[in-house]
Amino acid sequence: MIEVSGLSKSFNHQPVLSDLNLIVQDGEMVLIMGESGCGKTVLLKTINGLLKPDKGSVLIDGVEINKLPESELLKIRIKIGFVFQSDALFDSLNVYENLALFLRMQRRPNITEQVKEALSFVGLLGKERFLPSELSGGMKKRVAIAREIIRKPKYLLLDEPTANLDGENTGVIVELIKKMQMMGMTTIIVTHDPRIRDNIEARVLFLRGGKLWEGR
Amino acid sequence: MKGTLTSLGELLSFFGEIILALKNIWLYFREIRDSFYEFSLGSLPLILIVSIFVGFSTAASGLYIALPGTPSYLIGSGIFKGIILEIEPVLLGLLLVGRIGAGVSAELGSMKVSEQIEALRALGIPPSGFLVLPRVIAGLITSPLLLIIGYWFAILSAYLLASARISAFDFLKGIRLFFEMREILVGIIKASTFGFIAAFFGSFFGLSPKEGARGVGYWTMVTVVTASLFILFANYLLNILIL
Repeated sequence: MIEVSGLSKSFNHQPVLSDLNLIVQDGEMVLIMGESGCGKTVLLKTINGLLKPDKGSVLIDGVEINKLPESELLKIRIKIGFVFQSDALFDSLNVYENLALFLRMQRRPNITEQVKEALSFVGLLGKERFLPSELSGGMKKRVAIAREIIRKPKYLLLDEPTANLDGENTGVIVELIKKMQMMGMTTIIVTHDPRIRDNIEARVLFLRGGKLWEGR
Repeated sequence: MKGTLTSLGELLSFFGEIILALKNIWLYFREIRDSFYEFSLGSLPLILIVSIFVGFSTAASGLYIALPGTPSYLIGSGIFKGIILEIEPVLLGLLLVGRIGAGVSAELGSMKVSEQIEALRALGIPPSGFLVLPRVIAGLITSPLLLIIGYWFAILSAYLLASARISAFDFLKGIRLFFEMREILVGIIKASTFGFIAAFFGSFFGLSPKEGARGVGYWTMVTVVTASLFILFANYLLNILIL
């Protein structure tokens, strides 16, 4: 379970999140909507400890992560997948290496099979040797999702998964999200794209004025 | 003063992270190998060209400085010691700052800007282990190897230029008479230190917070300036301590 309570975060004395509360139960899918710049990315990055809150706490399975040193946070993050808005694929590694990296660092067996399985899941089997610069925007997003899926994380955080994608690619990503939902992954998606809200069964929250509000 | 202490603290903390990453060094074998090839084979052509000119210019200076009547073998010895103790290691160090330090700083800086560093952290992979440790180790190992290759080319080119006035016999006699293995070791220690400085500062400033391409350019420049100054200071310090 993810528990966020009293979370506040400011940049240059401008409050972005203020006294924000959120509980995400295991297996739940939460969709957080809001306009660009309202703090959606900041919220996700604070939940997995990439940003430290000014106030408040984030508990992952009962562990308060914002008080942990980076070395301990790295261990917690192993169970939290994070798909960046910019994809953040490692541009000097090909698709295979991008997906295999986590498995290699965790010394997991059967890496090649798992990479093929993940690429098959996102419909990119056969693109193993491509560099990120050789992929389209939609393909990059699918590789970014595959890089997280392959880890089999307990939690998955998706930051604007359809940003800069056309209608067709958005449809592909929406279908992937539905498949992930069927896998029972606890997921938080932040987006300003109504096409995701309209096509996915999830608890919908709105981020406004640094706080979350229920709605659909 | 407070800013200087903060920076010093950050440097020490960064060094500590690298030391801690050593416990998982076996995980990063592939990255160490890749950095080793990149630093060694990538730098070799430049080192060879520079070493040839180091030999030429040291020999020309040696011949010019030598007073009339100075025994030829002393000139040969002076040229040899000048190359192995000072000119070749220091120039190699400064070249490594440009080739390795700036390269590492710009590479890590652009990774930082494009959120790849955050993506590594999100994957539970420490950048200090995956990105920094391999480069620092490669810097430590490759620079002495490059130095030894550079020595040969510098000495050979120095002999070629000096042969207009000194016979091969006298040149080699000068080297043999005053040869001290310790001096070669000093050169190797210097090269290793300079390789470390180049990779360390390249990584440190590469991973520092920055905004956009201008930030990458700025911190790359800071890397070159800071690492160059540290290399000159380290050279002086090593001369005092171990010569």
